[in-house]
Amino acid sequence: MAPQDGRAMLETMIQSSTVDLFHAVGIAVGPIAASKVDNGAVESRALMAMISFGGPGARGTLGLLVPTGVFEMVRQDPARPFTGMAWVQDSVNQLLGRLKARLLQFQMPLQMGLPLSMDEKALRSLLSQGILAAYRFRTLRGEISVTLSGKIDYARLNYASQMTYASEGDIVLF
Amino acid sequence: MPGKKILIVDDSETIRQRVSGALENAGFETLTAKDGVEGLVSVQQEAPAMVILDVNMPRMNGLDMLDNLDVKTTGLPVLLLTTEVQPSLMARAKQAGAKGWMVKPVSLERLVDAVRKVVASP
Repeated sequence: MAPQDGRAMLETMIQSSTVDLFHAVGIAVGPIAASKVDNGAVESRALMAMISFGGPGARGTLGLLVPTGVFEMVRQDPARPFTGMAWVQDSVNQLLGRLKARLLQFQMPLQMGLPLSMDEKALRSLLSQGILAAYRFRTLRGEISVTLSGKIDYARLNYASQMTYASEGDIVLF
Repeated sequence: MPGKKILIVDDSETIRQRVSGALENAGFETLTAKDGVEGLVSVQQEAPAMVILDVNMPRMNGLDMLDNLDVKTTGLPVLLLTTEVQPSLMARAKQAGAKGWMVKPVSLERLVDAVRKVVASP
């Protein structure tokens, strides 16, 4: 695949993965803008987490930045509340999981790191390394941002439709 | 089946809370652990009827914990609950004796149904 096509494909994957992720918890999000390689487009948020990934042709970090108001829309069992920081870490983990599943169809297997919470200092450090793209999404309670940093060889993306993989929500009993 | 003890091993507090809440509402007892090391200790001390196990965790991942559980010998049912979809990982879990593989995010109703089926199966 030509690098520019691969980049556009990855952008679509990240946008659709993010929309699906929040839809699954009952939060409507809409992509605002195409990717911008501009650190200034990334605003700090109250809840931030990141997760590293690596594999043939790809190595980097995915970041998820969410305002508190969005977390307040997440349905919770009052008897078993979880913190916003735990939720955003789980969310960035699931976001990378969705992206990884999509990339497998393009023969780019990724290994996932463990999700980490991110404070202002960690965000600045991530941005100082340079980002490949920042994706912004509108919600009823403010904007979400997803950042992608690292190196990706877009030319390695090669669709293989004959491969079948499990999908989000699947339960396979052996 | 109500009252059976289910161990949930996941480093995500959100997943532990959601899954344990759904299972307790369905009449199960639950225990939780944050990684494979805690999970192994919990299995030894609490003798759960079944384990729900994440794959990517610190200290000891779910597939290594599964190997340590030796479920082919002990018969302890294990269901994996993960974002991973790679066939090679699923095959490794099946080979080690796991009863199934669930890809996050899973509907809690379907998860409870799967747990009921696995706990009830011989």
